[in-house]
Formats: sequence, structure tokens, C-alpha cells
Amino acid sequence: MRLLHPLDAKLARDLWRLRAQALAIALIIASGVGVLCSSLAVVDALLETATLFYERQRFGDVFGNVTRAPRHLLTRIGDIPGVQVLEARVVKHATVEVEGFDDPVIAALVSIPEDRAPVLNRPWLRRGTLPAPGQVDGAVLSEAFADGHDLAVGDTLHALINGRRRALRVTGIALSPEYVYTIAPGGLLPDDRRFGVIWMGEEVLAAAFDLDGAFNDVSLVLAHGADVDTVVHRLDALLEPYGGTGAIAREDQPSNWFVMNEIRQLRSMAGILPTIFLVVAAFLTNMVLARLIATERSEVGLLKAFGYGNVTVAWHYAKLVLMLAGAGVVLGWLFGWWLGRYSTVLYADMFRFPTLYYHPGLQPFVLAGAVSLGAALAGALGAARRAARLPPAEAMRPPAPAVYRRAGRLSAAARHWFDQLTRIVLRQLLRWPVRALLTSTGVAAAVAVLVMSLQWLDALELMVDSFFFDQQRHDVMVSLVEDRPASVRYEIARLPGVLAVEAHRTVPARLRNRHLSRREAVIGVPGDGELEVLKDATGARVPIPPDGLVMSRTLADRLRLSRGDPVVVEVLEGSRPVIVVPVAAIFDTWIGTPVFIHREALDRALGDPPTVDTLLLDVDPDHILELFDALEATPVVGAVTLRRASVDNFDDTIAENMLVFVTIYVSFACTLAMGVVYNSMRIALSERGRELATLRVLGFTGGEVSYVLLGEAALMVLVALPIGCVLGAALVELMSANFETELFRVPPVVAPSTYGMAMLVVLASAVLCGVLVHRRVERLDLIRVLKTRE
Amino acid sequence: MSPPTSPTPAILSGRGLTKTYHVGDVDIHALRGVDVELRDGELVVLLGPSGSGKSTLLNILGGLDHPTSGELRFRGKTIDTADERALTRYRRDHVGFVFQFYNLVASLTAEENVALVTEIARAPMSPADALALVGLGDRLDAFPAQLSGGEQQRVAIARAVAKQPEVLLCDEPTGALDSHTGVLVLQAIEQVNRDLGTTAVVITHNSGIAAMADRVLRFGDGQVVDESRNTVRRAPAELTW
Amino acid sequence: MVSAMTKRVVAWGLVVGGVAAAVAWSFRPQPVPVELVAASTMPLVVTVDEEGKTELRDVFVVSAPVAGRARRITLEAGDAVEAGNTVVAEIEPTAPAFLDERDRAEARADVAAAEAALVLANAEVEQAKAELDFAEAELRRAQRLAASRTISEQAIDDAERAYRSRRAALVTAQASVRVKEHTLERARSRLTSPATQVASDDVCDCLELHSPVSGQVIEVFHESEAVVAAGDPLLSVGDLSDLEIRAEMLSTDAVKVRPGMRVIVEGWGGDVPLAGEVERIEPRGFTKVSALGIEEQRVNVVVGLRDPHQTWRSLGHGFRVDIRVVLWETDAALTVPVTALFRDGAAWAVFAERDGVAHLTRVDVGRRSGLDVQVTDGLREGDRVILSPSDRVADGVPVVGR
Repeated sequence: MRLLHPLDAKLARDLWRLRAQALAIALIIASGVGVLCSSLAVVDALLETATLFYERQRFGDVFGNVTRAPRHLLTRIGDIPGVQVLEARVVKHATVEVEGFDDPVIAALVSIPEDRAPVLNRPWLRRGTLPAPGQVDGAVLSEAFADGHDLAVGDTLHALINGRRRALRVTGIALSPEYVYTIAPGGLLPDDRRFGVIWMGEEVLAAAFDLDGAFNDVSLVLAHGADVDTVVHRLDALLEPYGGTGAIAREDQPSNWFVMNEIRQLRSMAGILPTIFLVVAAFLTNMVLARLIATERSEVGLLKAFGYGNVTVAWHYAKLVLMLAGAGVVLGWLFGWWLGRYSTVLYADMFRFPTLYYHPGLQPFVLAGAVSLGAALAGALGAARRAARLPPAEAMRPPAPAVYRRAGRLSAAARHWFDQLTRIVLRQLLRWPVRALLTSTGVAAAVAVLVMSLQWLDALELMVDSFFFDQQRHDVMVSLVEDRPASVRYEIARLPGVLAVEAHRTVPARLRNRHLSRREAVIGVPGDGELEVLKDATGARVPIPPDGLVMSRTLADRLRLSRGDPVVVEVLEGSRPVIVVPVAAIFDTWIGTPVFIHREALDRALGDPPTVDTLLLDVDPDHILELFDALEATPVVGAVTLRRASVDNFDDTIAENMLVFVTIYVSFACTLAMGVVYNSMRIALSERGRELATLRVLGFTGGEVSYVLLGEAALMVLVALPIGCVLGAALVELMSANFETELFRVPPVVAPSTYGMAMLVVLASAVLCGVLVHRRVERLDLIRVLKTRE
Repeated sequence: MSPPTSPTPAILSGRGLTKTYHVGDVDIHALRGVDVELRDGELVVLLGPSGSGKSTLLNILGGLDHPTSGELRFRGKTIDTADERALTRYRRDHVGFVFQFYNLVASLTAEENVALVTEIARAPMSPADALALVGLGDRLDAFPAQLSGGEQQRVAIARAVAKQPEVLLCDEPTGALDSHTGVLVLQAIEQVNRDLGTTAVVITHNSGIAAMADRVLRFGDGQVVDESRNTVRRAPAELTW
Repeated sequence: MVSAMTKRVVAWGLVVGGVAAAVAWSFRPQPVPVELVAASTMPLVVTVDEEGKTELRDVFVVSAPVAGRARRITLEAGDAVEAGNTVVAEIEPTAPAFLDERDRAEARADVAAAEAALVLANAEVEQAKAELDFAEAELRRAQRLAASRTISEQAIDDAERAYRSRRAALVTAQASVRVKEHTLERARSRLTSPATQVASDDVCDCLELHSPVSGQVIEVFHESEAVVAAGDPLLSVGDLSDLEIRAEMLSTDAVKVRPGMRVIVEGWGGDVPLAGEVERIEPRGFTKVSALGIEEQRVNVVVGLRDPHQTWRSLGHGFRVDIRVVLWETDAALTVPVTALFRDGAAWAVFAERDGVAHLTRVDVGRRSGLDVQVTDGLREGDRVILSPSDRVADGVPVVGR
């Protein structure tokens, strides 16, 4: 009794026969599907998690800060149309002493109302409780910080709050929508041990900072449909007299900005790589199917002779492709789901959500599946149609031997150098150059993917070198809580261990060029600074002229500025002057969008005596602990940042994750290379089985016969290597352009060893394929092959 | 062609050769204990219907297959238990094959197809000479696609003999050709056998061809059913089938 | 005839060899791009730096010697003044004060009383006159009678006496009239209203104050015309070519400073630094809260400018400068920028570049000044060192200067 229609039985057996090739193609499809699914799944996870968290904890829509504003101003803020809820707080920074940790630690102190829970930006308690009303020393710590220092509920820590050392008792550990991505002001990456958030009672904080009856931070939640820009505008107007430096909407809030930025990058990634894989997969399915059908000519003829129609025949082969692709898609789904989950776990370290919801919707999977199946079918379509159109009788005849003409001949001189087997290899390539080139291109794509993945490590190295060592030459950066006269630098220079000091002054400002504007921190620097050095793209130093802005290229591009263009600078501090300065020079940096000006020009514009708020120090490591102690004892010192710690943090956070992803993509590339090479060789083996068996019969060893196949493959791979390197370089440029965000730009730099490594890996993959195919050649059943008709 | 005056040494001798295939539950006995001896310079025709075991015997004689049991010696050396390497060397150095479907390498010219073999042979004749021997001295640079069926087969013969093997095995050499072309092919085989002294074994289902052999072995059901000698060898041109 | 195998091996050997060479070549260690600077012999100056202020050595404050009405001072800060010559201020008498109603009534009453007294005095003068006339007549009569010896001597004496005393009484009455007249004038003058005072510009019954010294007006305290009390400062003058610089140094730095030490004056707004010299270090320290918020003990150090006045003409009084007191200097010290130094164990080291390779080189360092550090051992002039070496730079790593 038949369970399966004979055609389907044939299908099953064909698939089994082709299992190695099918697996190779399926893996390629799986790679493409996997990356697509995982990227989209992670995007969904991050978005969903963020949206839910923000909603539940009532994350503000607009944030404003001032130096000091009276509470009665809140009524007027509340009157702004569109404002639904508002809450005022005291937010300040303080140095924290942690036992057993010598590096400077700072925390953002955020007030919570004494008698009720906060209305907006509510901390989400992981453990413990909010401080009890009247509990003066109660504090809730941010989870990352608590974990970083092994602090638990009930522990005590000390903080220097406005010059006074106070003991705080940990009552709870929490997360906050404002600090999903917790970075110190001016920082790049979360450094859980050196920056944290502490929630404390409002009265305590207000008293400590002389803000009784006043506030310095306000958050708003807007009604549906309210225009954010208008509200921000009006809030600015109200806050300006109290030292407001410009309110921001949620999209510019640092933590949220980082989360959204990451999502944008993932979306980019989800576009490019899977496309490459799926295109190659389509090409491969086409190749496999076309040649498979060619070897089955007689079967096809037979089927048609028996009365099976064109459509049935075509559908039969289409089914083969669908099953092949289907297997790949299912594998890809599993892999994509797993990779998405893994990525999500990695993100949980960087983005502190209470839980990361990983519930990928159906959409990414359906999309990926449909696209892959479509690609595979598109590849196979031509071949299936050709098969269906063959008249039965013709199909069953052995085809005439392939026609080689004079055009394929090698020159007489060349002939001398090539033995017969080699000539077979060369003639085969020359006879079907397009096919050979396509195969080479497939391998080249693998090389390109390898170059692109490995390049990330090169880029990271350059970014770190350029930003942390070439641009920054100081060991320690000291930020003061408020502006101070420039003479402060003499004092700092006298502290233990200080070898050199340079002072900066940073002011928030709005830079305007016609209709484009951006809020940036303008950094006033000395004209002859050595502890912060700016370089242009050629590596030459960019001097700071007495007048004019020195701007990073990214910022200049955003504002569509070139050298010499005037910029309207609205300083948002002090006397709030509006000055027009030309862009004096443009420099290149991979991280951030800084803009500099000569400190004296800034003082002049503000009508101030020489004033500074940041000090860069070159420090003798032998005395650094004494320096920290001295700085801690100095009330006007706000934050102390160590370059070494920043570099290490950068390496730990980014480089580690990068390594994992590079490994994954290297595996993809190997899958691609092996898939293309293996399929190509297997197909050649089945197409030319008779010829190869004949050679065995003639007395050639298995190795010599393999040489015919492998030599052809080797030449295609070798040709693919340089092509792949060129493609890889182009891909790197493409990715670099796509990955450009305001925080990081990925330099499109490829070290020569990256090309070397990419070529080596592909060569190794090809050699592995060669070994597998050689085993098959050895096991060729000569008699069976010889007996079958060509 | 004068009959041998003294018994010439056996170049290939097989004793009790059997070959059994296992296909699922069924056993196929392709050869059931065949004894055969081939003398130097003989032209033997193996005759029999399809499935009678003649091809199987040819494959074993040529070192393409191992007998399930039995002994095969070539010039006294045991072949039946030789490993893959030894068999390859045996085929390379001592045996020439001609198949029903030519099996030329399509991407090599006639001369190159022959050179394929002469390159790895110990004492070959030049490809040009081999092709001249089969009457294709003027078609050295032609690709198989440019040659007729008969010409292709003759190139195959030239290829088989260019290495000056001791044994020439031909499996249905004229099976795919018309009678006229077939004659040409048989003539080539006969010439090689006569001029070079190569021992030739020709398989055919066509009894008419048997007349050109020294000895005819009839096969049936995996065994040699009959062995006969031709006192006179007919020229291929005189054969009818 | 070369065998097929050999041909194959050669051909593929070439190809594979080529690829292998390319791959191997790609792995050659890439030089790390670095910024190089040559250790150079240059003057090195170790200084104590502090912020200071210019001050006039002597500031002369011109103040009102008497209470009065100071006229508008037309001189402005910066105007040149000449000792003894230039009139810097003028003081004229003030207007009398206003009287309130009661005082006014009293004054009027006083006037009336004085008028009445005058009338009385006049009347008494008349009376005295009359009495005198009579006495005179009596005397004449007596004298006529005396000639005729009709009257006694005594009577003549009495008449003379009477005449003389009546004459004196007249004088007395006249004097009394004058007194009453003056009293009336005094009473009337109390009624004088300040509004009736007319100030006349060109005629000035003023006290002129002259500049005590040649120089410039530093500050005008009372520009407008005003009534000033005695001792009110009006303006200050000083000789701006006689400036000194005063800096509040940490006491721990001040002990290192000696009078006579060279001082470099910078940050004063001019293009070139000025030359100065430490003149004195005040012996008394005082507590001051620093810009960083720390209490420190400071000492005043006074520095005099040594460059010709022309070069710092634009400096005024109370201008901010940066002073760098030279504690130690040399003309030729082998220096490298401080950003090239790092610790290697207990010693200092740099990465010196030779033949395209970085070499970890231990150095001994001497003095430091700003960003320059003196190297006393370990490097030679012209040796190139790497600034701010990244983690990629290590001993033996190839580097290339950008």
C-alpha cells in the first residue's frame, strides 16, 4: 500500500540524496533569516519593554532644570496649555564614599516627596522600600550601582552632600525610567561602579542645598495631542529667569536617547546583512536546482512521456526547493529566536529595565520566512520552467557532449606548461565563465562578510586610540559644581601628584544656522592646550584660534556649516548673550559632537573674568590616592573622571559584546563560503561523474581525480579572494555610513591583517569542503557511474 | 594470422570467480564460479545475453571490481585481493578500456584525450602515433563534439592502447554504432591486437562478431556455458550482424 | 620531458605561494600611528604662579578739608594731573539751612525785637544827643561865666564833667545803636533763605584743591556738585607709571620666594609677558578662603615691574595679572612634554622611537614647568618620544609618526 504518491517518494529520496548540499543551502538561509528575525525581535523587545516601563513609572515628556526656582512658579508652569501633570524635584550631584573602592564615585541625588510616592519618574523598587517619612538618612540606590558595590538593603554608605559628610542608610534598591541607561554627566557608557543614582527625601536634600521651598528640576507629562515644542518653548520662557538652560523633550533625555539610538542601529543592521545572505541563497538554489534538473533530464522526459503535465513537473521541483528553503527557514527561526534572546540578555546589562520582555511577535518571523522562500523560489523558477518545457523524447536522449571550440583553446605556449588534468580544469572554467564567476562572487560575498565583521574590531581599536589617547591626554578630569575663577588652576596644580593642569569652561548653548539649530555644550579651552588635542582627518593638529568655533565634522554637517560660516550662539547661562561667531576650523572625531572655542573669547562674550568649571590633570600614578583624598575634601569639586577607568569600561562594555557578535558573523561567513564551494563541487561531481569515473578507470588515483574537481574550485576561490576584499571594503563603507549616529561613528578602517584573516578563513573553509568532496570521489562507485548513460 | 606454435603463457588467469550482489533481501549471483585464462596476444570474444555476467567478468578482469570469491592473477600476481592503490596501478599500467559510450573527456581534444593516458604511462607511444594507428592521424585537434560516433570510439581505442597495455578490454564497443562504423572500430581493435600483440577481450551480445576472435566464450546465467575456438579469424569487414 | 606531476606542482606552487605571500604580508605588524616630538634643549623656568593685581604704589586721596559745597569735578579718571598745578576740586561755602515754622516765628520775633531795640537805641541816642547839647550849652555858659569869674571852679568842672559824660553817653548810645543795628542784622540774617543764594559760576569764592602729585586721576568719588563734610574723599590720584603688583601667595609658596627674584608677568592683556622683580614679601600671613573653598594662609608678595613704562602703559590700577616667580631657571635643559611620561614600576619612562620601533626607555626627571619636564638621564637631544602613547604601544612595537 502506498503512503506517498510516487513523485513525493522520489522527492523525499532526492532530498535525502542531496542532504549535504541541502544542509549547506539551508544553513545559509538560516543565517539570513536568523539575523533578520533576531534583530527585529530585539527591536520589538526593547521597544515594548521601554514603552511599558515608561508608562508604568510615568516617565516625563518634558524635563527642565534651573539653578533655583520658587515653588509658586509651579502654578504658572501648570497653566501652560498641554501640561497634564507636573512634578518638581531637587536633583544634585554628590561624591560618594564606598568602602574598599578608591576611585572617585559620584551619584545623582534625586529627591522624592516625603509624604507620598512620586507622581512622575517613579522609581521601581526591586527590593526594600522608599524611606519612611521623617527618616532623614534613608536612601534608595539604583540597582546597577548597588550590584556593582555589593550594597544591600540595610547597608550604610557615606556621601559628601554639599560639603557635609552624611551617612545614608539603604532602604531600597530601584530602577528608574530616567536612568535605564545610566551615564555620568559627560560620560559615554554606563560605569556602574563610578556613577549611580540615589533617591532621598526632598526635605533633606532641599535643606542640604539651600533649596527650601524651591526646586531645581521639573518634569511634565503632557496631554494627548499637545505640541511638545510649544510646551518646551513656554517652559523655557518661565524658567529662564531662574537659570534655566533649556528644557528638553523626552526624545533628548540622555537615557531614552541612547535606547532609541540603539533601536535605530538595530533596524539598520536588520536591513543589510540578511539581504546579502538571502541573495546568495537565491543564487545557490538556482544553481543547485538548475544542475540537478539537468542531471535528471531523462527522469523528466520519462515523467512527461508518462503523461505528467508541465505544471506538475515544475511544481515537483518547486516543492523540492520549498522543502529545502523551508528547512532553512525553520532553522533560521530557531536560531533567530535564540540569538534574539541572547542579545536581549546582553542588553539587559546595559539597559536597566526591571525585566526585558522578549515576546517576539509573529511579524519578523513571517516576514523573514516569506522573503527567504520567495528568494529561493525566484532562484529556482528559471530552472524549473526549463525542465517543464523539455519535450519528452529529447529529454530522454543523452545530450550531445558539450561543445568546445577553438575559442576555448589555450595558446600553444601555455599548452606546454599544463598537463592534461590541468587543462580539463582550465577548459571547464573557460567554457562556462559566467557560472564560474557567479560561484566566485558567492565566495567573494563570504570574504566580504568576514572583512566587514572583523573590521569592527579594527574600528574599535581606532576609536579608542583616537578618542582616549590621541585627543585626550589627561589622566583625570575634575568637574566643579559651579563656575570658579581661573586662578583655581593654580590651586589644583598644588595638589599631590598633579603634574600639569589645564582648565576649560563649558556652557550650554544653542547653535543656530538659519533654520537649523542644536543644543550643545560649547567648551572653552586654552589656545595652547596639550591635555586635549584636536586633530583633523589627516592627523594634523587643529589649533584653537583666538576667535571662532572649532567644530566636529558631524556637528558641522548636521548644521550644514563649512569653514568660515557664521554661527549664532545663544549662550544659555549667565548673562545669556547671543554672539555670532564664524566656524574657524573643523576637526574629526569618532565619538560625540563636541564644539570648542577659545576660553578667553567665551569669557569676553559673557562679560566675565577668566572663569573655569573643568580641570584636566596629568597625574603621577604614585600619588593618585592622595589626590583623590584631596579632591574629596574639596567642596567645590563635583565629579572626578579617570581616563583609565573610561578606557577599561569602554573595552569591557563594548569590546566584549563585539567579540560575541563578530564570532557569530564569522560563522555566518564560513557557512556562506562552505555552502557555495561545497555545492559547486558536489554539483560538478554529479554532473561529471562519468568523466571522473572514466579517469579512475584509466588508472588515475582518487587524488588525481579529485584534483580535477578541486583544482577548478580552487581557482574560483582564489579569484574570489581579491574580489571579496574589494567587496568587503565597499561593504565596510556602506555599514559605516549606515551606523553613523551622533554618539559613535564607526571608522571605515580595515587593517591589512583583517583582509589576510578573511582570506585565510575562507581558504580554510574551502579546504574543508575539498576534503569532504575528496572522500566522495574516493568512494565513487565506478561501475554504477559508468553504466548510466550520459 | 597463424595459430600459436607453442602454448603461450597465460597473462590473466581466473579461478572460481564468483560475484554476488545483495540488493535488499534478494541476492543476485552475477558470476557463479568462472574459470578463465587469457593468453598473450589472444583476441577473445565474450558472448551472451544481457545479465549473463560477461560485463561483471570484464570488470573483475580489469580491476574495477573485487570478486566475492575466487582468485585472479595477472602475470602471476594476485589481483583479487589487491587494495585500491594496487588496482589503480594495475589499471594504469597494464589495462586499456573501451566502453560502449566512448567516455571521452569533452573538454579535451582527441590528441589530449590520448595524452591524458600517455602522460601517466610508463612506456607509452606518442598520442599522434596512437591516433594514426586508428586512422585519425589528421583529427588530432578535434574536440569530441566535432567527431562522429565512430571517430569518438576510435579515439577511445587509441586512448586505451596508447599506453601499450598488456590487456585491452572492450565492453560492447560497437553497441552504439551502425554496422558500417562498427566495422571500422572492430578493424582498429583487430589491428591493435595484430600489430601490437595486445591481448584483447571484446564483450558483445552480437554473435556475428564472434567470428573475428581466436576464442569465443559463451556466457549464460553467470557461468561459462561454452568455449569454442575459431580456426580462422575473419576480418571485421567480412562480418555481418 | 617534465612530468605532469611536476608541472602541476610548479604551477600551483606559484599560485598558492603567491596567495600565501599576500596573506603573510597582510599579517605583518602594522606600525601604530603616533605623535612624535623630539626631546629638545631649551630654557626651562620653574616658577611659582599666582594671580595678582596691579596697584599704584601710592594712591593719594584728595578729600575736602572743610565742609562746604564741592563744585562739580570735571576731571575724569585717567586725566593727567600735575603736582601743585592742576586744580582738581573747588569747594565753596554752603548755603544756609532752612528754618522750620517755629524757628521762623522766633526769628521774626527776634527781628521785631531787634527793630524795637534799635528804635529804642535810636531814641536813646536822640536823648543822649539832647542831653549832650544841653551839657554843651551849659558848658559854654559855664565857660563864658568862667571868663567872667561868675561861676565857681567847681561849677565849671561840673559842667565839663556833665558835658563829657553826656558826650560819652552819646557815644555809648550810638554804640548801642550800632549794636542794635548789628543785632537786627543778625536777626534778619537768620531769616535769609537759601533760595535767595545765588551761585555764580565764574566768580567763585572757593577753596581750590590742587593735585598733590603728578600723574593721573584714578577715581573720582564725588563727581557731581554736592555738599561735602570735612574729610570726605573727593577723588584719588596717582602715578600710573609707578605701579606695583600685589599677589596673595600661599604661605608655603611665599617661603620659597626671595626679594630680587625674577618675575614673569603674564595674562595682563598685552601680547608679550612683562619682566618684573620681587620687591618684598610681607611678613604677616592671613587666612583666606580659596576659589576652591578651602581656607588657606596667604602672604602678600609685592612685585615691581622692570620693563619701561611704555610697554605697559595701558595697565591701570587694580588690573588683573598672572605672575610667575622664577624659582629656578636654566638656559639649556633637555625637555620633553609631560604627556610623554609615564610610570614604569617606580621609575619614570618614555617610549623613544628609533628606526620605526618604540623602545621603552627609563628616564630620570628633574624639574618641571608647566607642560615641560626636564630629563636628566636616559635621553639625548633629538631623541624622539611618543606623546600620550595608547595601549597599543609597547616595547618593540613598530610605530610611525603622523
